[in-house]
Amino acid sequence: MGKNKNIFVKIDDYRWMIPKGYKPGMRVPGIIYAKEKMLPEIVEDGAHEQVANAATLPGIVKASLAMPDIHYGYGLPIGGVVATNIAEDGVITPGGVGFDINCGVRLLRSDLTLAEVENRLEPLTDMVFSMVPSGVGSSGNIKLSRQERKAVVRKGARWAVEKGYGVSEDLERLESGGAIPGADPDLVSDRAYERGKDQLGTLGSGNHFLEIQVVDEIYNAKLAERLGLFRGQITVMIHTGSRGFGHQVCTDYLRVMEKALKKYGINVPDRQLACAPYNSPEGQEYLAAMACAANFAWANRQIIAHLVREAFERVLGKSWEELGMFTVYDVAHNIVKIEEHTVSGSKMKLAVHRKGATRAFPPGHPELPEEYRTTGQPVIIPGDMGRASFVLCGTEKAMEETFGSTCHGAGRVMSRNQAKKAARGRDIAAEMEKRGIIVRASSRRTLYEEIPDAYKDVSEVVDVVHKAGIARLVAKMRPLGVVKG
Amino acid sequence: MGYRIIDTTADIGIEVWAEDFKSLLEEAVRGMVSLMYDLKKIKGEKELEIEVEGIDREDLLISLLNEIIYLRDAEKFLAKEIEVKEATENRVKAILRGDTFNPDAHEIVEEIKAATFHNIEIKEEGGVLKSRIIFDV
Repeated sequence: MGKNKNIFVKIDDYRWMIPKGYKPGMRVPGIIYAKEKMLPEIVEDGAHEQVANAATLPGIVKASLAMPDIHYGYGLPIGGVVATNIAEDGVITPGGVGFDINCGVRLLRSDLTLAEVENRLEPLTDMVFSMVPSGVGSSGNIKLSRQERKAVVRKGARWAVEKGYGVSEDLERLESGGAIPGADPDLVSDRAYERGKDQLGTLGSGNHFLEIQVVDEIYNAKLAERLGLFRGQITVMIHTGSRGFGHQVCTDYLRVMEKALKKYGINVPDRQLACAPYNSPEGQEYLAAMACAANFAWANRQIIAHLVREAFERVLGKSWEELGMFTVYDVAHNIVKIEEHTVSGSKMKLAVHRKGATRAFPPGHPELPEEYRTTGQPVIIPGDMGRASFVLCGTEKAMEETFGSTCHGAGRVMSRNQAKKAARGRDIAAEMEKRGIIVRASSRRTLYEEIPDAYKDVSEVVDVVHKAGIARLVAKMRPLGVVKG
Repeated sequence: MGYRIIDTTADIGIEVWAEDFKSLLEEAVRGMVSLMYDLKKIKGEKELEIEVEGIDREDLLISLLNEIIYLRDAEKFLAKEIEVKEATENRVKAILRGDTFNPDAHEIVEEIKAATFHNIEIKEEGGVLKSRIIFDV
């Protein structure tokens, strides 16, 4: 392990502890889920320092956790999980959620097989690309009145269903039913509404994407069957969040929290970790505003999912119900939620911050819909555009060790500039086409930044969480058609 | 005074330096907008007066940058140049020059979501003010 020896204490093959004494002010140790060979990259990146910083937050319980897709972010690392005890002095930090509140992933299944649509993939990808607005500054076709926009952020995905985007059965298969309670539209600034006013139903840019995929491998036949997945099946994955609306909510409340630091006498090693006690006006107001942004994101993914169904209907000439395009599940991977967990034998209400981490509740958890009570919560892990994505299920061990959390994706290894340099002179779309992947992107630059080499191998990441037992592998999907912003 | 683009794995940042706070603010804005869009395609036909407040110099710097990001989304205004008229520890008044976004004429390069407070600090070294700003993209 070389120089890493001085930082980490090995717990087992997949867990590495940063002891409490590593940095002044740490209240709990840090624990990173990784293989030993991943550690040098994490240290070089400096992400372990951010794990240690988060361990200083007031009210943090057990440990400052990081998933194997950890990389350097701001405030908390990406892949970070931090839970604070709200009954005591536990804090809420917008920096533990990030700017893209409720960035997340939805998976649609179908009854279609690859053999059936192999020669229609190009028109399907083109139709999805033309029907779902994508790219920087993309505007949607939904214009909202002042009254209506408040309804969106209160109701989340349900609002979209009421407007004809999808059906109520979709809602049962979304984390939190596609809306978290406590959203107060009046605690969101006019500026946030202004920024998000024409962005509902848009994909955005950067790492956000829409993919037509085929199920390539089944690891657990029983679970796959319960989730409605089979080998050779066509699926669609949607990865996006709350757009400018959520970014502004975070921006606004970071300033509120900056002032709160002084007011409550809290010291943080990084101003991006600015926070306030859960039991304070600032903490409560952020949670209510964050809920609005989370609900905006669920409405956004609901609308996009429905546009995808319509695109398939147009190209294939059958209704989406006939095509079997039902929702498998929808997860949030940038969010803070109030959940009940058992820590050292006692039940506690915790504010669980997941920043680039996915909830992974076990079989039998009361928050799961009826059909997933025996499987555990479906966990959807997007990969990069050239490799693979995965479906896993939550486990009891995740509940015990990680506040019911697991990884969220591949995690970058190259900065955007490094990726652009690596891609210089290459025709990325043509390279993808050679691998049998059709790519449509609003900007060539996005393609450069998002080349597969810029990401950790997602297979390695899910291998760690599977072997560590904080999620169980179910299926692997391979991209066929990719729409990028 | 000047700025330099710096790399982080997930995001992107700038390092800025200037002789005084007013120029530091201007240079930070120049650095950020150079990342956001192709400046050659922006003529600077529109002028906008802005006023931003902050709790200290660091907060003011980040808030000014976030104001420009806000204007891009909410007003479709792409700022190209800035002239700071007045800057104290807590308040900045400035004039922005730029264009109203036209998808046929302009090219947006990076959809920066926000300027972050990550390790934000304005330091003075040998009479020069320096800072490092990380953006969420």
